[in-house]
Amino acid sequence: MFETIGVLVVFFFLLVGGTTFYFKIQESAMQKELVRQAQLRSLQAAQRAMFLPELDCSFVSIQRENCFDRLKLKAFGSVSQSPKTAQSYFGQFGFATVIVREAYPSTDFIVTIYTSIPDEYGKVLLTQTPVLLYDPVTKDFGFGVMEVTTYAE
Amino acid sequence: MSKRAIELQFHWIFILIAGAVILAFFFSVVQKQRALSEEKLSITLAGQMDAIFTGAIESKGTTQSLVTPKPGIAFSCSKVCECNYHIGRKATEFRDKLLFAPAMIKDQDAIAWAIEWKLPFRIANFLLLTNPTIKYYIVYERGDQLSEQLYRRVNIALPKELNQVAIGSLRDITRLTPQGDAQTRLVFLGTQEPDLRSLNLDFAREDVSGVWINADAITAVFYEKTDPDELEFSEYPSVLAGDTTVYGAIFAADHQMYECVMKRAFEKLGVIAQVQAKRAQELKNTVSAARPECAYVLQDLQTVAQKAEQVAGAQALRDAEAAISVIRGAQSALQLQNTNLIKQSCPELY
Repeated sequence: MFETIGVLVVFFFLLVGGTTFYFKIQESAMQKELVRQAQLRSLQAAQRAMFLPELDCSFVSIQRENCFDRLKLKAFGSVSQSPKTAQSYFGQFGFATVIVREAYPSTDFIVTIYTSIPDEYGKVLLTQTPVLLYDPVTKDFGFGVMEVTTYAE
Repeated sequence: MSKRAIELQFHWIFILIAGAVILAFFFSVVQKQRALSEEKLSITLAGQMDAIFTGAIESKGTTQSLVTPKPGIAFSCSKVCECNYHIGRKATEFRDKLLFAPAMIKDQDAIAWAIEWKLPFRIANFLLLTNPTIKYYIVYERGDQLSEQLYRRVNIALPKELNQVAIGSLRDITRLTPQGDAQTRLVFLGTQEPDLRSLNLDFAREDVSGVWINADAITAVFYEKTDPDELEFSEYPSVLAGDTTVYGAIFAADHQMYECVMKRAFEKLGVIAQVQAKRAQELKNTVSAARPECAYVLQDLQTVAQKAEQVAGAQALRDAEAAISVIRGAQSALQLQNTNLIKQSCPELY
Protein backbone atom coordinates (compact mmCIF):
# COMPACT_ATOMS: atom_id res chain seq x y z
CA MET A 1 0.00 0.00 0.00
CA PHE A 2 2.70 2.46 1.07
CA GLU A 3 4.74 1.48 -2.00
CA THR A 4 1.83 2.39 -4.29
CA ILE A 5 1.35 5.71 -2.52
CA GLY A 6 5.06 6.37 -2.86
CA VAL A 7 4.94 5.64 -6.58
CA LEU A 8 1.94 7.96 -6.95
CA VAL A 9 3.63 10.77 -5.03
CA VAL A 10 6.72 10.52 -7.26
CA PHE A 11 4.48 10.32 -10.34
CA PHE A 12 2.52 13.44 -9.38
CA PHE A 13 5.72 15.21 -8.43
CA LEU A 14 7.13 14.55 -11.92
CA LEU A 15 3.80 15.50 -13.47
CA VAL A 16 3.67 18.86 -11.69
CA GLY A 17 7.29 19.53 -12.62
CA GLY A 18 6.67 18.64 -16.27
CA THR A 19 3.49 20.72 -16.44
CA THR A 20 5.21 23.76 -14.92
CA PHE A 21 8.06 23.43 -17.41
CA TYR A 22 5.59 23.07 -20.32
CA PHE A 23 3.55 26.13 -19.29
CA LYS A 24 6.72 28.19 -18.87
CA ILE A 25 7.71 27.33 -22.46
CA GLN A 26 4.16 28.11 -23.61
CA GLU A 27 4.30 31.50 -21.87
CA SER A 28 7.59 32.37 -23.51
CA ALA A 29 6.21 31.35 -26.93
CA MET A 30 3.14 33.48 -26.26
CA GLN A 31 5.32 36.49 -25.39
CA LYS A 32 7.24 36.02 -28.65
CA GLU A 33 3.95 35.79 -30.56
CA LEU A 34 2.69 39.00 -28.89
CA VAL A 35 5.86 40.85 -29.93
CA ARG A 36 5.50 39.50 -33.47
CA GLN A 37 1.86 40.65 -33.57
CA ALA A 38 2.85 44.11 -32.28
CA GLN A 39 5.53 44.37 -34.99
CA LEU A 40 3.01 43.29 -37.62
CA ARG A 41 0.54 45.93 -36.38
CA SER A 42 3.26 48.56 -36.51
CA LEU A 43 4.13 47.66 -40.11
CA GLN A 44 0.45 47.63 -41.07
CA ALA A 45 -0.04 51.09 -39.55
CA ALA A 46 2.93 52.37 -41.58
CA GLN A 47 1.56 50.73 -44.72
CA ARG A 48 -1.86 52.29 -44.15
CA ALA A 49 -0.34 55.72 -43.59
CA MET A 50 1.67 55.43 -46.83
CA PHE A 51 -1.49 54.96 -48.87
CA LEU A 52 -3.71 57.56 -47.22
CA PRO A 53 -5.66 59.32 -49.99
CA GLU A 54 -5.86 62.28 -47.59
CA LEU A 55 -2.16 62.96 -48.19
CA ASP A 56 -1.25 61.64 -51.63
CA CYS A 57 0.43 63.62 -54.40
CA SER A 58 -1.67 63.53 -57.53
CA PHE A 59 -0.78 64.79 -60.95
CA VAL A 60 -3.73 64.96 -63.37
CA SER A 61 -5.45 62.50 -60.99
CA ILE A 62 -2.56 60.02 -61.11
CA GLN A 63 -0.96 59.26 -57.74
CA ARG A 64 2.77 59.19 -57.19
CA GLU A 65 3.83 56.45 -54.81
CA ASN A 66 5.61 57.20 -51.52
CA CYS A 67 4.81 60.88 -51.89
CA PHE A 68 2.91 63.27 -49.63
CA ASP A 69 1.54 66.67 -50.60
CA ARG A 70 2.82 69.28 -48.13
CA LEU A 71 -0.39 71.29 -48.20
CA LYS A 72 -2.49 68.19 -47.60
CA LEU A 73 -0.20 67.23 -44.72
CA LYS A 74 -0.69 70.62 -43.08
CA ALA A 75 -4.44 70.54 -43.71
CA PHE A 76 -4.81 66.97 -42.45
CA GLY A 77 -2.70 67.80 -39.40
CA SER A 78 -5.22 70.47 -38.46
CA VAL A 79 -8.37 68.48 -39.44
CA SER A 80 -7.24 65.45 -37.43
CA GLN A 81 -7.02 67.59 -34.27
CA SER A 82 -10.78 67.33 -33.91
CA PRO A 83 -11.62 64.50 -31.46
CA LYS A 84 -14.33 63.14 -33.76
CA THR A 85 -11.91 62.86 -36.71
CA ALA A 86 -9.16 61.41 -34.50
CA GLN A 87 -11.65 58.84 -33.24
CA SER A 88 -12.52 57.82 -36.80
CA TYR A 89 -8.83 57.06 -37.50
CA PHE A 90 -8.39 54.95 -34.36
CA GLY A 91 -9.52 51.86 -36.26
CA GLN A 92 -6.79 52.50 -38.79
CA PHE A 93 -3.83 53.26 -36.52
CA GLY A 94 -4.88 52.21 -33.01
CA PHE A 95 -2.52 53.40 -30.27
CA ALA A 96 0.13 55.13 -32.35
CA THR A 97 1.72 58.42 -33.30
CA VAL A 98 2.30 59.23 -36.96
CA ILE A 99 4.71 62.05 -37.73
CA VAL A 100 6.06 63.25 -41.06
CA ARG A 101 9.24 65.30 -40.93
CA GLU A 102 11.33 66.80 -43.71
CA ALA A 103 14.96 65.70 -43.83
CA TYR A 104 16.20 67.62 -46.87
CA PRO A 105 16.54 70.45 -47.95
CA SER A 106 15.03 71.98 -44.81
CA THR A 107 14.46 70.26 -41.48
CA ASP A 108 11.85 72.52 -39.93
CA PHE A 109 8.78 70.96 -41.55
CA ILE A 110 7.18 68.55 -39.05
CA VAL A 111 3.54 67.52 -39.02
CA THR A 112 1.84 65.18 -36.58
CA ILE A 113 -0.94 63.57 -38.53
CA TYR A 114 -2.26 61.24 -35.84
CA THR A 115 -1.66 60.63 -32.18
CA SER A 116 -3.30 58.37 -29.64
CA ILE A 117 -1.15 57.29 -26.69
CA PRO A 118 -2.47 54.79 -24.13
CA ASP A 119 -2.21 55.59 -20.41
CA GLU A 120 -0.02 52.54 -19.86
CA TYR A 121 2.19 50.72 -22.33
CA GLY A 122 5.12 48.36 -22.17
CA LYS A 123 6.72 48.36 -25.58
CA VAL A 124 7.26 51.12 -28.14
CA LEU A 125 7.91 50.18 -31.76
CA LEU A 126 9.16 52.70 -34.30
CA THR A 127 8.83 52.22 -38.06
CA GLN A 128 10.50 54.77 -40.29
CA THR A 129 9.76 55.07 -44.00
CA PRO A 130 11.38 57.49 -46.45
CA VAL A 131 8.90 59.66 -48.37
CA LEU A 132 8.89 62.42 -50.95
CA LEU A 133 7.34 65.73 -49.92
CA TYR A 134 5.77 67.64 -52.79
CA ASP A 135 5.07 71.34 -52.73
CA PRO A 136 2.26 72.01 -55.26
CA VAL A 137 2.95 75.77 -55.29
CA THR A 138 6.64 75.65 -56.18
CA LYS A 139 6.38 72.15 -57.70
CA ASP A 140 9.50 71.19 -55.71
CA PHE A 141 10.19 67.91 -53.98
CA GLY A 142 11.90 67.38 -50.64
CA PHE A 143 12.96 64.24 -48.82
CA GLY A 144 11.24 63.30 -45.62
CA VAL A 145 10.68 60.50 -43.16
CA MET A 146 7.40 59.15 -41.92
CA GLU A 147 7.69 57.85 -38.37
CA VAL A 148 5.03 55.53 -37.06
CA THR A 149 5.37 54.85 -33.34
CA THR A 150 3.10 52.12 -32.02
CA TYR A 151 2.50 51.35 -28.38
CA ALA A 152 2.11 47.75 -27.28
CA GLU A 153 1.35 46.19 -23.90
CA MET B 1 -12.18 -13.50 4.59
CA SER B 2 -8.69 -12.96 5.87
CA LYS B 3 -7.20 -9.51 6.55
CA ARG B 4 -4.76 -10.02 3.67
CA ALA B 5 -7.60 -10.67 1.17
CA ILE B 6 -9.50 -7.48 2.26
CA GLU B 7 -6.31 -5.45 1.97
CA LEU B 8 -5.76 -6.77 -1.56
CA GLN B 9 -9.28 -5.75 -2.61
CA PHE B 10 -8.82 -2.22 -1.21
CA HIS B 11 -5.48 -2.11 -2.96
CA TRP B 12 -7.18 -2.74 -6.34
CA ILE B 13 -9.94 -0.23 -5.61
CA PHE B 14 -7.28 2.33 -4.73
CA ILE B 15 -5.40 1.61 -7.99
CA LEU B 16 -8.64 1.97 -9.96
CA ILE B 17 -9.46 5.32 -8.34
CA ALA B 18 -5.91 6.59 -8.81
CA GLY B 19 -5.94 5.42 -12.45
CA ALA B 20 -9.29 7.16 -13.04
CA VAL B 21 -7.98 10.38 -11.50
CA ILE B 22 -4.84 10.25 -13.67
CA LEU B 23 -6.92 9.51 -16.79
CA ALA B 24 -9.36 12.34 -15.99
CA PHE B 25 -6.44 14.68 -15.46
CA PHE B 26 -4.87 13.88 -18.84
CA PHE B 27 -8.26 13.98 -20.54
CA SER B 28 -8.97 17.47 -19.18
CA VAL B 29 -5.48 18.67 -20.18
CA VAL B 30 -5.98 17.36 -23.73
CA GLN B 31 -9.42 19.00 -23.96
CA LYS B 32 -8.05 22.32 -22.68
CA GLN B 33 -5.11 22.15 -25.08
CA ARG B 34 -7.39 21.38 -28.00
CA ALA B 35 -9.65 24.35 -27.21
CA LEU B 36 -6.58 26.55 -26.70
CA SER B 37 -4.90 25.57 -29.95
CA GLU B 38 -8.16 26.04 -31.88
CA GLU B 39 -8.49 29.51 -30.34
CA LYS B 40 -4.83 30.25 -31.08
CA LEU B 41 -5.21 29.07 -34.66
CA SER B 42 -8.24 31.26 -35.30
CA ILE B 43 -6.44 34.27 -33.75
CA THR B 44 -3.36 33.64 -35.92
CA LEU B 45 -5.52 33.16 -39.02
CA ALA B 46 -7.50 36.33 -38.24
CA GLY B 47 -4.25 38.29 -37.82
CA GLN B 48 -2.91 36.91 -41.09
CA MET B 49 -6.17 37.61 -42.92
CA ASP B 50 -6.12 41.18 -41.59
CA ALA B 51 -2.61 41.66 -42.99
CA ILE B 52 -3.64 40.06 -46.30
CA PHE B 53 -6.71 42.31 -46.58
CA THR B 54 -4.60 45.39 -45.76
CA GLY B 55 -2.15 44.47 -48.52
CA ALA B 56 -4.84 43.55 -51.03
CA ILE B 57 -6.85 46.72 -50.48
CA GLU B 58 -3.87 48.90 -51.43
CA SER B 59 -3.36 47.10 -54.76
CA LYS B 60 -6.07 49.03 -56.53
CA GLY B 61 -7.39 47.74 -59.83
CA THR B 62 -6.05 44.24 -59.27
CA THR B 63 -7.72 40.92 -58.75
CA GLN B 64 -5.92 38.37 -56.64
CA SER B 65 -6.57 34.95 -55.26
CA LEU B 66 -6.47 34.65 -51.46
CA VAL B 67 -6.20 31.37 -49.61
CA THR B 68 -9.33 30.80 -47.55
CA PRO B 69 -8.74 29.23 -44.12
CA LYS B 70 -10.33 25.81 -43.63
CA PRO B 71 -13.13 26.96 -41.29
CA GLY B 72 -14.11 29.58 -43.90
CA ILE B 73 -14.61 33.30 -43.36
CA ALA B 74 -18.02 34.69 -42.41
CA PHE B 75 -18.76 38.38 -42.99
CA SER B 76 -21.58 40.32 -41.38
CA CYS B 77 -22.73 43.77 -40.30
CA SER B 78 -25.16 44.30 -37.43
CA LYS B 79 -28.01 46.82 -37.37
CA VAL B 80 -25.75 49.22 -35.46
CA CYS B 81 -23.08 48.81 -38.15
CA GLU B 82 -20.68 46.62 -36.22
CA CYS B 83 -19.03 44.89 -39.15
CA ASN B 84 -16.92 41.82 -38.46
CA TYR B 85 -15.44 38.87 -40.17
CA HIS B 86 -15.30 35.60 -38.27
CA ILE B 87 -12.75 32.82 -38.60
CA GLY B 88 -13.89 30.06 -36.28
CA ARG B 89 -15.07 31.83 -33.14
CA LYS B 90 -12.68 34.76 -33.54
CA ALA B 91 -14.38 37.95 -34.72
CA THR B 92 -12.31 40.74 -36.27
CA GLU B 93 -13.71 44.18 -36.97
CA PHE B 94 -13.60 45.61 -40.51
CA ARG B 95 -12.31 48.84 -38.87
CA ASP B 96 -11.03 51.11 -41.66
CA LYS B 97 -11.38 48.44 -44.34
CA LEU B 98 -14.18 48.97 -46.80
CA LEU B 99 -15.06 45.35 -47.53
CA PHE B 100 -17.98 44.04 -49.55
CA ALA B 101 -18.22 40.28 -49.25
CA PRO B 102 -20.74 37.43 -49.20
CA ALA B 103 -21.98 36.07 -45.88
CA MET B 104 -19.62 33.09 -46.11
CA ILE B 105 -16.52 32.27 -48.14
CA LYS B 106 -15.60 28.62 -47.82
CA ASP B 107 -14.16 25.60 -49.63
CA GLN B 108 -12.34 27.46 -52.42
CA ASP B 109 -9.88 30.35 -52.56
CA ALA B 110 -11.33 33.83 -52.33
CA ILE B 111 -11.18 36.27 -55.24
CA ALA B 112 -10.22 39.73 -53.99
CA TRP B 113 -10.78 42.72 -56.22
CA ALA B 114 -9.58 46.14 -55.09
CA ILE B 115 -11.15 49.16 -56.76
CA GLU B 116 -10.84 52.86 -56.22
CA TRP B 117 -13.74 55.11 -55.22
CA LYS B 118 -13.34 58.64 -56.53
CA LEU B 119 -15.69 61.60 -56.17
CA PRO B 120 -13.80 63.06 -58.18
CA PHE B 121 -10.65 62.87 -56.01
CA ARG B 122 -9.54 59.55 -54.57
CA ILE B 123 -11.39 58.69 -51.38
CA ALA B 124 -10.69 55.05 -50.66
CA ASN B 125 -10.18 51.63 -52.13
CA PHE B 126 -12.96 49.10 -51.79
CA LEU B 127 -12.07 45.44 -51.41
CA LEU B 128 -14.64 43.17 -53.03
CA LEU B 129 -14.51 39.50 -52.10
CA THR B 130 -16.19 36.44 -53.49
CA ASN B 131 -15.31 32.89 -54.53
CA PRO B 132 -16.23 30.45 -57.32
CA THR B 133 -18.85 28.67 -55.18
CA ILE B 134 -21.03 31.77 -55.55
CA LYS B 135 -22.79 32.15 -58.88
CA TYR B 136 -23.75 35.58 -60.19
CA TYR B 137 -26.48 35.86 -62.82
CA ILE B 138 -26.17 39.27 -64.49
CA VAL B 139 -29.62 40.01 -65.91
CA TYR B 140 -30.03 42.91 -68.32
CA GLU B 141 -32.67 43.89 -70.88
CA ARG B 142 -31.53 43.44 -74.46
CA GLY B 143 -32.92 46.28 -76.57
CA ASP B 144 -33.06 48.71 -73.66
CA GLN B 145 -30.28 51.22 -74.31
CA LEU B 146 -29.69 52.24 -70.67
CA SER B 147 -29.68 48.64 -69.47
CA GLU B 148 -27.31 47.53 -72.23
CA GLN B 149 -24.93 50.43 -71.52
CA LEU B 150 -24.82 49.60 -67.83
CA TYR B 151 -24.31 45.90 -68.59
CA ARG B 152 -21.39 46.69 -70.92
CA ARG B 153 -19.74 48.86 -68.24
CA VAL B 154 -20.24 46.24 -65.55
CA ASN B 155 -19.18 43.35 -67.78
CA ILE B 156 -15.92 45.06 -68.75
CA ALA B 157 -15.08 45.91 -65.15
CA LEU B 158 -15.98 42.65 -63.39
CA PRO B 159 -13.05 40.27 -62.84
CA LYS B 160 -12.84 37.41 -65.33
CA GLU B 161 -12.46 34.94 -62.45
CA LEU B 162 -16.01 35.67 -61.29
CA ASN B 163 -18.44 32.77 -61.63
CA GLN B 164 -20.98 34.70 -63.71
CA VAL B 165 -23.59 34.09 -66.38
CA ALA B 166 -25.19 36.85 -68.45
CA ILE B 167 -28.92 36.74 -69.19
CA GLY B 168 -30.33 39.09 -71.84
CA SER B 169 -33.94 39.15 -70.72
CA LEU B 170 -35.72 39.55 -67.41
CA ARG B 171 -38.25 36.86 -68.38
CA ASP B 172 -35.47 34.27 -68.80
CA ILE B 173 -34.91 34.06 -65.04
CA THR B 174 -37.94 31.74 -64.87
CA ARG B 175 -35.89 29.15 -66.82
CA LEU B 176 -33.03 29.09 -64.31
CA THR B 177 -32.54 26.01 -62.18
CA PRO B 178 -30.21 25.50 -59.20
CA GLN B 179 -26.74 24.39 -60.33
CA GLY B 180 -25.51 23.18 -56.95
CA ASP B 181 -23.74 26.44 -56.09
CA ALA B 182 -23.32 27.41 -52.45
CA GLN B 183 -24.99 30.76 -53.11
CA THR B 184 -26.83 32.33 -56.04
CA ARG B 185 -26.82 36.09 -56.56
CA LEU B 186 -29.11 37.65 -59.16
CA VAL B 187 -27.95 41.05 -60.38
CA PHE B 188 -30.55 43.00 -62.34
CA LEU B 189 -29.32 45.88 -64.46
CA GLY B 190 -32.36 47.53 -65.90
CA THR B 191 -35.35 49.78 -65.67
CA GLN B 192 -37.99 47.10 -64.98
CA GLU B 193 -38.55 45.90 -61.45
CA PRO B 194 -37.69 42.19 -61.19
CA ASP B 195 -39.93 39.60 -59.54
CA LEU B 196 -37.80 37.01 -57.76
CA ARG B 197 -40.88 35.00 -56.83
CA SER B 198 -41.05 33.95 -60.50
CA LEU B 199 -37.90 31.86 -60.01
CA ASN B 200 -38.11 28.08 -60.34
CA LEU B 201 -39.52 26.57 -57.12
CA ASP B 202 -36.36 24.47 -56.80
CA PHE B 203 -34.67 27.67 -55.61
CA ALA B 204 -36.92 27.75 -52.51
CA ARG B 205 -34.41 25.88 -50.37
CA GLU B 206 -31.34 27.50 -51.99
CA ASP B 207 -29.34 30.44 -50.71
CA VAL B 208 -30.62 33.02 -53.21
CA SER B 209 -30.45 36.80 -53.04
CA GLY B 210 -30.73 39.61 -55.54
CA VAL B 211 -29.91 43.21 -56.20
CA TRP B 212 -31.59 45.47 -58.75
CA ILE B 213 -29.32 48.25 -59.97
CA ASN B 214 -31.54 50.77 -61.66
CA ALA B 215 -30.23 51.45 -65.17
CA ASP B 216 -29.35 55.04 -64.24
CA ALA B 217 -27.02 53.58 -61.55
CA ILE B 218 -28.43 55.96 -58.92
CA THR B 219 -30.60 53.62 -56.86
CA ALA B 220 -30.47 49.95 -55.91
CA VAL B 221 -32.91 47.52 -54.32
CA PHE B 222 -31.68 44.53 -52.34
CA TYR B 223 -33.76 41.34 -52.26
CA GLU B 224 -33.21 39.07 -49.27
CA LYS B 225 -35.02 35.86 -48.40
CA THR B 226 -37.44 36.13 -45.49
CA ASP B 227 -37.64 32.35 -44.98
CA PRO B 228 -34.80 29.98 -45.94
CA ASP B 229 -37.32 27.43 -47.25
CA GLU B 230 -39.62 29.77 -49.19
CA LEU B 231 -39.32 31.94 -52.28
CA GLU B 232 -40.32 35.06 -50.36
CA PHE B 233 -38.13 38.14 -50.42
CA SER B 234 -37.93 41.41 -48.50
CA GLU B 235 -36.97 44.52 -50.47
CA TYR B 236 -34.51 47.10 -49.16
CA PRO B 237 -34.00 50.18 -51.32
CA SER B 238 -30.72 52.07 -51.16
CA VAL B 239 -28.73 54.71 -53.02
CA LEU B 240 -25.60 54.43 -55.20
CA ALA B 241 -22.80 56.94 -55.65
CA GLY B 242 -20.91 56.06 -58.81
CA ASP B 243 -20.04 52.83 -60.62
CA THR B 244 -17.67 51.68 -57.86
CA THR B 245 -20.61 51.52 -55.48
CA VAL B 246 -22.53 49.45 -58.06
CA TYR B 247 -19.88 46.76 -57.64
CA GLY B 248 -20.10 47.18 -53.87
CA ALA B 249 -23.85 46.49 -54.05
CA ILE B 250 -23.26 43.42 -56.24
CA PHE B 251 -20.68 41.88 -53.89
CA ALA B 252 -22.24 42.86 -50.53
CA ALA B 253 -23.84 40.04 -48.53
CA ASP B 254 -26.92 42.12 -47.81
CA HIS B 255 -28.30 45.66 -47.67
CA GLN B 256 -26.98 46.06 -44.10
CA MET B 257 -23.39 45.49 -45.19
CA TYR B 258 -23.75 47.82 -48.18
CA GLU B 259 -25.26 50.62 -46.07
CA CYS B 260 -22.73 50.30 -43.22
CA VAL B 261 -19.65 50.21 -45.44
CA MET B 262 -20.95 53.08 -47.56
CA LYS B 263 -21.64 55.22 -44.49
CA ARG B 264 -18.05 54.61 -43.38
CA ALA B 265 -16.90 55.57 -46.90
CA PHE B 266 -18.92 58.81 -46.76
CA GLU B 267 -17.38 59.57 -43.36
CA LYS B 268 -13.97 59.28 -45.05
CA LEU B 269 -15.16 61.47 -47.92
CA GLY B 270 -16.15 64.13 -45.36
CA VAL B 271 -12.65 64.23 -43.89
CA ILE B 272 -10.90 64.21 -47.28
CA ALA B 273 -13.15 66.98 -48.60
CA GLN B 274 -12.28 69.06 -45.50
CA VAL B 275 -8.56 68.46 -46.17
CA GLN B 276 -9.01 69.39 -49.84
CA ALA B 277 -10.95 72.54 -48.87
CA LYS B 278 -8.18 73.65 -46.48
CA ARG B 279 -5.58 72.92 -49.14
CA ALA B 280 -7.57 74.92 -51.72
CA GLN B 281 -7.80 77.83 -49.25
CA GLU B 282 -4.01 77.79 -48.87
CA LEU B 283 -3.59 77.70 -52.67
CA LYS B 284 -6.03 80.58 -53.01
CA ASN B 285 -4.04 82.63 -50.49
CA THR B 286 -0.63 81.93 -52.01
CA VAL B 287 -1.18 81.28 -55.72
CA SER B 288 -4.27 83.32 -56.68
CA ALA B 289 -2.75 86.53 -55.30
CA ALA B 290 0.23 86.27 -57.68
CA ARG B 291 -1.62 84.62 -60.56
CA PRO B 292 -5.25 85.79 -60.84
CA GLU B 293 -5.95 83.26 -63.63
CA CYS B 294 -5.61 80.52 -61.00
CA ALA B 295 -9.04 80.78 -59.39
CA TYR B 296 -9.88 78.40 -56.53
CA VAL B 297 -13.56 78.15 -55.63
CA LEU B 298 -13.97 76.48 -52.26
CA GLN B 299 -17.73 76.26 -52.11
CA ASP B 300 -18.09 72.87 -53.83
CA LEU B 301 -15.49 71.24 -51.59
CA GLN B 302 -17.13 72.69 -48.47
CA THR B 303 -20.53 71.47 -49.69
CA VAL B 304 -19.16 67.96 -50.29
CA ALA B 305 -17.60 67.91 -46.80
CA GLN B 306 -20.84 69.03 -45.16
CA LYS B 307 -23.13 66.72 -47.17
CA ALA B 308 -20.83 63.72 -46.74
CA GLU B 309 -20.99 64.13 -42.96
CA GLN B 310 -24.76 64.30 -43.26
CA VAL B 311 -24.83 61.01 -45.23
CA ALA B 312 -22.46 59.29 -42.77
CA GLY B 313 -24.75 60.22 -39.89
CA ALA B 314 -28.01 59.26 -41.61
CA GLN B 315 -30.05 56.31 -40.41
CA ALA B 316 -30.21 54.93 -43.96
CA LEU B 317 -28.67 56.10 -47.24
CA ARG B 318 -32.18 56.60 -48.64
CA ASP B 319 -32.80 59.27 -45.97
CA ALA B 320 -29.78 61.15 -47.33
CA GLU B 321 -30.64 60.74 -51.03
CA ALA B 322 -30.80 64.52 -51.52
CA ALA B 323 -27.35 65.00 -49.94
CA ILE B 324 -25.86 62.26 -52.15
CA SER B 325 -27.41 63.94 -55.17
CA VAL B 326 -25.77 67.27 -54.19
CA ILE B 327 -22.39 65.47 -53.86
CA ARG B 328 -22.89 63.97 -57.31
CA GLY B 329 -23.58 67.47 -58.71
CA ALA B 330 -20.54 68.98 -56.97
CA GLN B 331 -18.37 66.21 -58.45
CA SER B 332 -18.86 67.52 -62.00
CA ALA B 333 -18.22 71.12 -60.89
CA LEU B 334 -14.99 70.08 -59.15
CA GLN B 335 -13.83 68.11 -62.18
CA LEU B 336 -14.46 71.12 -64.42
CA GLN B 337 -12.62 73.45 -62.06
CA ASN B 338 -9.63 71.09 -61.90
CA THR B 339 -9.50 70.76 -65.70
CA ASN B 340 -9.52 74.55 -66.05
CA LEU B 341 -6.68 74.87 -63.53
CA ILE B 342 -4.62 72.26 -65.42
CA LYS B 343 -5.22 74.17 -68.68
CA GLN B 344 -3.94 77.36 -67.00
CA SER B 345 -0.87 75.46 -65.67
CA CYS B 346 -1.98 76.22 -62.11
CA PRO B 347 -1.55 73.85 -59.14
CA GLU B 348 -4.39 71.35 -59.27
CA LEU B 349 -7.39 71.60 -56.97
CA TYR B 350 -7.04 67.97 -55.86
